[in-house]
Amino acid sequence: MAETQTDTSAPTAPGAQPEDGPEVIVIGGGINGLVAAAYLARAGRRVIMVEAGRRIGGMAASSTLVDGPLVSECAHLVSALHAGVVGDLGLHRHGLRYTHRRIPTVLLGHGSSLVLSEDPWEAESAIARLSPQDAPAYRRFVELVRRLNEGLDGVLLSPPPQLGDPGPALNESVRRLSSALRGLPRRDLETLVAHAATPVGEIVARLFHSPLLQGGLAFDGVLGSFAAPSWPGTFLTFLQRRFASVSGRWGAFGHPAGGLGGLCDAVWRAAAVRGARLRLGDRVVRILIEDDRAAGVALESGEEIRAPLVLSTLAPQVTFLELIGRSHLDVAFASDVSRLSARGSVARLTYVLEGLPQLPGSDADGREAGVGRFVVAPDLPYLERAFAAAKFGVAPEEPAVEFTIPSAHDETMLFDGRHVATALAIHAPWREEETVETRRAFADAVEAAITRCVPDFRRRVRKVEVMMPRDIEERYGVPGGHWHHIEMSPDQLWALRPHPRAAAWRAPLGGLYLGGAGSHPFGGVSGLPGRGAALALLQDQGWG
Amino acid sequence: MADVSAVVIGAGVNGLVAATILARAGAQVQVLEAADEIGGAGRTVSFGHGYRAPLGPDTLPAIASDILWATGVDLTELRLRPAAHSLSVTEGGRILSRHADRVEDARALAALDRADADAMPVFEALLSRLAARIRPLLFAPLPDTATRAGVLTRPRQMEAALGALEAQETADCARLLVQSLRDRLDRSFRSDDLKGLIAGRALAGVGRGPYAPLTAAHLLRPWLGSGPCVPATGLMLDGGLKALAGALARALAEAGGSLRLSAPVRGLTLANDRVTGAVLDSGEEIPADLLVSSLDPAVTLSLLVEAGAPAGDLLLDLVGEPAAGAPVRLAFGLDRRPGFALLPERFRARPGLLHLSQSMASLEAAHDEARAGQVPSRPWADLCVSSDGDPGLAPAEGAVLTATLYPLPQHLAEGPWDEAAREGLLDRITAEIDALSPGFRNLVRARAIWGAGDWDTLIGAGTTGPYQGDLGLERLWSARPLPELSQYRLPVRNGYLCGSGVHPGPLVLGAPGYNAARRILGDLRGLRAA
Repeated sequence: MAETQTDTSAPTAPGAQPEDGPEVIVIGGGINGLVAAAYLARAGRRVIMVEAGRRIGGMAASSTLVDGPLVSECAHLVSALHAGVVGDLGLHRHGLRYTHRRIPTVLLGHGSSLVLSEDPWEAESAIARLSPQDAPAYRRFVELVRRLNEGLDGVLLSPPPQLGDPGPALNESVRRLSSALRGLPRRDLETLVAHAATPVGEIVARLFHSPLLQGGLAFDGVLGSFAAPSWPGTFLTFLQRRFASVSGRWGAFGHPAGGLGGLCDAVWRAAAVRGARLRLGDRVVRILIEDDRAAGVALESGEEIRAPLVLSTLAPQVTFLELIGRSHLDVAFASDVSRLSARGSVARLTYVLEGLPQLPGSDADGREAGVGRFVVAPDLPYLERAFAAAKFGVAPEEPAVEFTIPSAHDETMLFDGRHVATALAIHAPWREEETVETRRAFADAVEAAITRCVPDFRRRVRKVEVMMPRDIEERYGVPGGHWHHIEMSPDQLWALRPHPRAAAWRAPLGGLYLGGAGSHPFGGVSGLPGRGAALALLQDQGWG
Repeated sequence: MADVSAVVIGAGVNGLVAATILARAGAQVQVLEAADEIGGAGRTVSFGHGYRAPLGPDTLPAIASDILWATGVDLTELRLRPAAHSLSVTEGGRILSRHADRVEDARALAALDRADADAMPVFEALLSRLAARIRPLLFAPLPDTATRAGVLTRPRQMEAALGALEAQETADCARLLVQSLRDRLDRSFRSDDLKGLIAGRALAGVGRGPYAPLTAAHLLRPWLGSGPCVPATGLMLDGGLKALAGALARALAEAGGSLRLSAPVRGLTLANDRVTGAVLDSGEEIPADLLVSSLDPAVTLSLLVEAGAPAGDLLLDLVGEPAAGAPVRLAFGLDRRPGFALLPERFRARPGLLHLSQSMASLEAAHDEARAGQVPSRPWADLCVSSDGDPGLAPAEGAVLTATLYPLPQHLAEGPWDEAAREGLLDRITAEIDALSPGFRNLVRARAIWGAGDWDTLIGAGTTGPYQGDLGLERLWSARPLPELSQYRLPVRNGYLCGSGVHPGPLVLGAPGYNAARRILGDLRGLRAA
């Protein structure tokens, strides 16, 4: 039963008449559903967004610890939010604020640490103190990654080819790729073509001597993926993670005010002021299909909402197999969708800390203590070992971790005067059964891993909450508990994401679009799949 | 072209293919081989008490009849035959057989799992169709990447190769090229034993486990040639690769080329950015207008750098190139042919190729162990009674059994691959074979192990082993061995690479030699025209 039903009373866009039925139903109110709804509303279309939960945001929501502050629930940093999305939707006008826009990445080793400031010169001098010959190599690497990401921008924004389509669509794909990459200098293009599949671990091992730098950089290639740094495809994941956005600078990470929920609120305001409507607390149980076309949705409450266009931001497995059903799909396609790989491997932990731990580098250069993205991945073999366990469903003895302490720079985040830390532990296994003990054991391993680098961490911990991949699967309805809905492996990227016959945000059924993390280009908090699906829909309808 | 003299270093299959094609085009070709026998990575090595063993492989990679045709070797003169069957012994001690005969193969598979038996022809037909589309790309001249259009030639070729297929077939093909063996095999088959067997065979030389992306593409390997293809069991050649090298050497002689054995190249001479000749260990200088090397790219490059060529940066990029896929080869000289009492009776007399196989999970774990510098608890092993195909390997009444093991670490975490480590591995494999062939250990008169650092002394392959670098898909085309060296051209004006270290590596027998020769002839024509 629907318990809440919120229609915003915001003014409607010119041309949209709220008393008419919606033209588009957006399923799912996570970051991509919000972005899609905002793009559609901005184009003057009548949109209704249906979210099963009691609030918007999905995996990018903020929620409270008991009576405590709002903290990001899953994702905890903004890195790849696309500047185009921010600009198109006017998110700053709608309240998007950052407490910090360019936080440093602090690599924590066993007895050493390295502050990688977002200012490349500062980062370089910090590296020079640790490993002199790595400093110039790092500068060249940062420059290369920046150029590659600038060049790849067009690929992320433009539709991948639909390989299954006969005729011109296919023949166009390389021309399109070539034009999307036109900003890339020839030598970089060559590097990209030659090394697109080279594992991130091999690249950093060739370029750098410092094990800490190798491990810390490779971490960004495997965070959120079921992958070891020695696997092909991880360099692309690295580029995605380091995709410039927050400040228009390379690989900047930002803390939005109010956590990720603050970002979601801003996107929703952008949608609402243009007349988008929202149905909260009611779950879509079926997408209505008539004559091989989407015709609306059926809700858990029993109600049906009819609309000629449906844009789902749920995982493709859920959209196709649960909401549509195999009877409307051909056998080969349905079987492929059921085999999409989605092996979630990130656990999310929230800590309440008594006082701020002694963090390396925290007072260097007058920097505020505790501001930063702290990475525990001391070397490449550490990451390999952790994944070697997780891929067989075994929790690693030493997980790799990324944590932040939002309360260190945003005092509204303090919890009864105590600090709050949020951590992503990678290479957490997906297990059928999670119990208090198995969660506790994993949390202990994470705490020990952090404490090996930050000796007073453990004794400051007062409370910890942990969500394993299995918990994330149940809570957010993402298969395998995967943050990107489906794996970011080479067989599920670009024209193959989520399936060659459902690429470019279009499902193989009329009127149905896919705008979730499982669509091109990737999940995370980029907003790009939602944007792509909305623009594809608008283009197909001649509404662009 | 009679005015052009070329020195080819190395008389392995690739060196001989390149040399023969150049000689047939009229060049004055001289092949210099360090060993006292031709064959390179396929030659035989003596290991005591009158026993010799082929360095490998026991079954042939894909064969392209057009490559051999270009050298004048008649495939029908070689005694090439399908291995009638191959057997694998699983971790659980179960024996699986695959057969060259399709009906028999289907029957054997059905005994394992009826659905898998039905799935196999569909699966193999897809591989064969996709391979037919990929094959021309392996031989297409590598685009000149000096222009943007050139850089994008390969994506364009891939696109064309996958074009004009039915939608679902495009989907299957496109994903097969980039997905993991595990995902692909789980999709078609149910039996863990069968999936492990197919995965293990596909992973030879790859250096990664079956869970890693881009490994499924290795399933295409048997189909990449244009000659005979027996995917279930493999092709064997009487006399091994050495026999093929012999045929190539005869073709070379017919074309007017010459071959010198026991002529190791110690250095090169250089003038004005050109190689002017090769210097032998004896000090003798052999002048040449062209240098073509089938040695490992890093070894060739270090010869150049020693001679004064400014290629130090490239060399640094190449050294440290991981070679996790380099195999270890064992050889056992036996008093007599071993019996295999524990195999089903019909296979005892001629067991053919025997795999000690594993499930995909064990293969994955073994690769992790090797990466961490440990000898896997159960490495994959291919066993073959080599003297069955080449009786000359053993003294009268005797036999030679060879084994290829992978994955094994290049460097042990505990220390070097010393005598104790080698003997330990030999003992373990001896015990494994003894379990299949009771009494085997008592037949052993001589035994040997080659791997890790040995490949350099054996075949001039640096540290990268007989494949001259791992075979991951991402290491082909312009990434093999480096974008700067991928045109078969060395960083001097008249030097070329033609070994397995350049595209398309050992995927198709002799293909790098063939491609390099065509690149050289193209360059020479270009020079004449200019």
